[in-house]
Amino acid sequence: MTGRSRQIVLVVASFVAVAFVSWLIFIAFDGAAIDKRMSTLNPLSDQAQEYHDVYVLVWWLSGAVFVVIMAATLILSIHYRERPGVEPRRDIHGNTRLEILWTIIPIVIVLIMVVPTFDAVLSVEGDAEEGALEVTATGHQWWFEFTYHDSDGNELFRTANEMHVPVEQAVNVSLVSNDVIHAFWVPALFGKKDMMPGHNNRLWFKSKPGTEGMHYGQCVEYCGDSHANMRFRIFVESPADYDAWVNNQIAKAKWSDDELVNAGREVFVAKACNSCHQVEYSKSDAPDWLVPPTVAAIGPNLSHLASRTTIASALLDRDESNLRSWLKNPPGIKPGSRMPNLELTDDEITKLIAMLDSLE
Amino acid sequence: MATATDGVGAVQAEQSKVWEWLTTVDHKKIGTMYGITGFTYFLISGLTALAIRTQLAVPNGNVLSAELYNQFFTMHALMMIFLAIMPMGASFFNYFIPLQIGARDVAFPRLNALSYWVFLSGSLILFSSFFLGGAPDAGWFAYAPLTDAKYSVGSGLDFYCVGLIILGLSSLMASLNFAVTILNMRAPGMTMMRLPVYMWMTLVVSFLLILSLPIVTVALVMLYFDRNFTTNFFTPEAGGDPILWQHLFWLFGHPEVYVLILPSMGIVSEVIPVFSRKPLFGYSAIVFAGASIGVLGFGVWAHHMFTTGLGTVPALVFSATTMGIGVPTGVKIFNWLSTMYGGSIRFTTSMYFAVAFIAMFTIGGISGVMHASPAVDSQHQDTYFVVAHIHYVLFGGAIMGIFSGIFYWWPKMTGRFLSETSGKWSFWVMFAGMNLTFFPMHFLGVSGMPRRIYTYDEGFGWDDWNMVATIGSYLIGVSILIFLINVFRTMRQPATAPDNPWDAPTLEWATSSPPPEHDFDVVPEVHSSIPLWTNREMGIVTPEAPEGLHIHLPPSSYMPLILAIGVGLIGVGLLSHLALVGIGVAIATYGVWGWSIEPTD
Repeated sequence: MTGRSRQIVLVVASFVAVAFVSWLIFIAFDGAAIDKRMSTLNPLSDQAQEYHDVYVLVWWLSGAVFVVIMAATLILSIHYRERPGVEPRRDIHGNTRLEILWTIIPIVIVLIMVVPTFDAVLSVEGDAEEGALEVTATGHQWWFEFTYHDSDGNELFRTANEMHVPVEQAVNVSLVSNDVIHAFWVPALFGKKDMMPGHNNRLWFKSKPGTEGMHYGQCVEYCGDSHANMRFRIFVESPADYDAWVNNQIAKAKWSDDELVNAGREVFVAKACNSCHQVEYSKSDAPDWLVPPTVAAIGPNLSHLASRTTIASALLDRDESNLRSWLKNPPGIKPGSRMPNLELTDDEITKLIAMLDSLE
Repeated sequence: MATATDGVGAVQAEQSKVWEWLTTVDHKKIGTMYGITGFTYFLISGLTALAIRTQLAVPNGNVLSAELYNQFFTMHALMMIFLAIMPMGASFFNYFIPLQIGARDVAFPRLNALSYWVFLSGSLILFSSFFLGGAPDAGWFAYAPLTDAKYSVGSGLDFYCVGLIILGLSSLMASLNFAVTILNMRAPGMTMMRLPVYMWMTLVVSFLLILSLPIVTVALVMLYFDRNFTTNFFTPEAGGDPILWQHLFWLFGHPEVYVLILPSMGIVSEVIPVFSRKPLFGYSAIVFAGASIGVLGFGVWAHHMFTTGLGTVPALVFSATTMGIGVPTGVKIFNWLSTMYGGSIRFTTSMYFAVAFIAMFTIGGISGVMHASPAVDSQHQDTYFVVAHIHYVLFGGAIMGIFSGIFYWWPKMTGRFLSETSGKWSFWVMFAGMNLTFFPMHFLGVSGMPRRIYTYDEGFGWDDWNMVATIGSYLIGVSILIFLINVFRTMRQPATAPDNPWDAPTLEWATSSPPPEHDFDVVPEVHSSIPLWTNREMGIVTPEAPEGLHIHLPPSSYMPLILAIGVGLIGVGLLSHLALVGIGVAIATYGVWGWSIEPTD
């Protein structure tokens, strides 16, 4: 094979090798999008879509740079290996024109990235649409509290760890922290934003049509021992389902006269659960029931716990077995948990679970 | 070899070897101590990495408790940055600055020794936290208010403050020393634009540290005060602001990452021309690119804060500057590749590491530019995508550059060659391991895996790539073992390396391997940035040393050691009993006083 055709084969083979590796990488990135609960590549809101469009542009530009540099490295390494009789080009010290060219090209690439970035950020970070639903998300170590407001800003109700929103409706979330820095993130619906103590951050999003369903979120700013366990869910639903959920949350806790539920309530008070967790029965059902006077919650509001699908900041599905494990030893499941091990007997736990199950 | 009849004399001979090292002001010995200490911490921190990866290999792992995991990921970063990469960088700076500029030592030899001993005491204070109540566990970036005494009960964060303040002092002293040395002590004929690129990178790094270390020192003092003396710099309830900590920290933290990468970029700029057997392509451009990265590096810090609610305008400004800094970086990549063009490349182990640096650093640079856009960053920040980015630039970049330097300069420092066969094995295993560990983290990041989590659940689709990453990390461990075996076997060989085995052009190769204590008999003439090649082409021969040549060297001193012990005791006192601070001050004062009056002839 002549030197010239050897060169050509080398260049082509190197590009093929790099292209093959790049294709594998592309498949893997794609795989990271499909069916992954926390995928960042599956935008289901207008705002996530705007940011995703910037990502796609940047990804392809990066891919092009990757292929060029990897191929160049491979080709130069192989082609210029020392060979007998071939002298190095010691006369080459630089090439001003080339150097100017490869200063300008990256500047152009940067400009191509910067303009859509500016557009997307200004749009997404701007004010929410008129008539947006107002929710305040408060980060605690290690759970999320959600306070829903009416259009005048008054508090409607509080819940924890699971947030419901109507589909195709703008939602404005005010982000607050009760203690350290947390962050609020549901990759399918919006990029992360910190819950900064002492500051009033906010984000807004509007889900796309047909995105009804459950979407996964997690705290994504290191916040201490159980940062890994601080998760939540957002349920996007039809306006009818959403209204039904809101009405249920606004209503007082359901009263059940069942003997086991009654026994559970006694344990709830005897073990001082109500010093951290609110369960708001109506005065007519429970005239003597004490609701702690503190407005700021220490633990999640349990008035409608049985309407939630998870417990322990969306760490565990809400079922008998998990409730039992949790009540048995909260710090064992969530290191550092503020809820201590109350040394409950199995019998006490059975009663408590009956009570908690009644709180739909 | 001591015998029964040698008695006191033999004991004295041994003692003086230890004493020789404790009191040395010779830059080569100090560089060696930095190197051994730094590499030891690199190994220890590598073990924390293996523990972390073992914990994350499967969902809901129980190898490490949450508490221990959080200490491990915090200390992994702290140790790698402050106790491994920076000291190994300092090791080469120390050894080679005087040699590359044709001087015989640094400007302030005792200050040089002091830097090492203060580094050692700071490192011991920080490391000892593991055994004295728990290491810091709030991340290496230690965001307030998590670091407040209210949320970080226990002394870990106090060790963090005191340890880093002392380590910062060490780096500051060393940077001042190096900057003065490079600016003032160059050989005749070595103008600034004839400095080896490695020297330019060292100069830029020195200025980055001189300007950024005071900022983080202030922040650490403020944090220590918030934790121990009821101030409220970062406490929102009392009018303080956690964002203040972030600004102060990242104003240091971002230049710090350039401190970590520029030395390796300098090494690669030395190695590639030597093994391509042609001069560096675009010397001026690489120098200006390095300097501008240093300057621009002070204008990008808030890209670490895109998701904190900075405000749209600041976010966009910092996004533009961050993307901008990719331009000089790209220029360097192209210039290194162009150096290989037209070369006659000899693929020694050192060259493998240098070429891998180009490719791996490019990948890290690409992912970095991706999240220079706040739009992209909002979905990448605090996910494994960033972990992938930092490890491509720090492992694929900084560490591989260091290994390139180790294989390149080993014959010069020790007179022996590390085995090329073993070296190539360690390279390929490390290269495979590194990519297996960190490339999947891009996929984990875009499938939403947060970072700094001690465990994750099944059902999120993160299981497989985590397992792959863990396997890769063990491969890295194997490659390090291969390297260590290489070192131990090599050091058993006799020291027979010639002055310039690689036919390199810079001045350190114009003396014996290892160099004599006075570095050069006669410093060669300097007419270019590649003096040995130019002199050969122009027929210039360096004369032999004249008869009866006496070279005055600075005498050894134990005052730096005394002063460092004093500083260390001050630190220990701040962590235990304030009375010890008084003793530390007294010892330090004695050290300073002794230093100032001792003869230097």
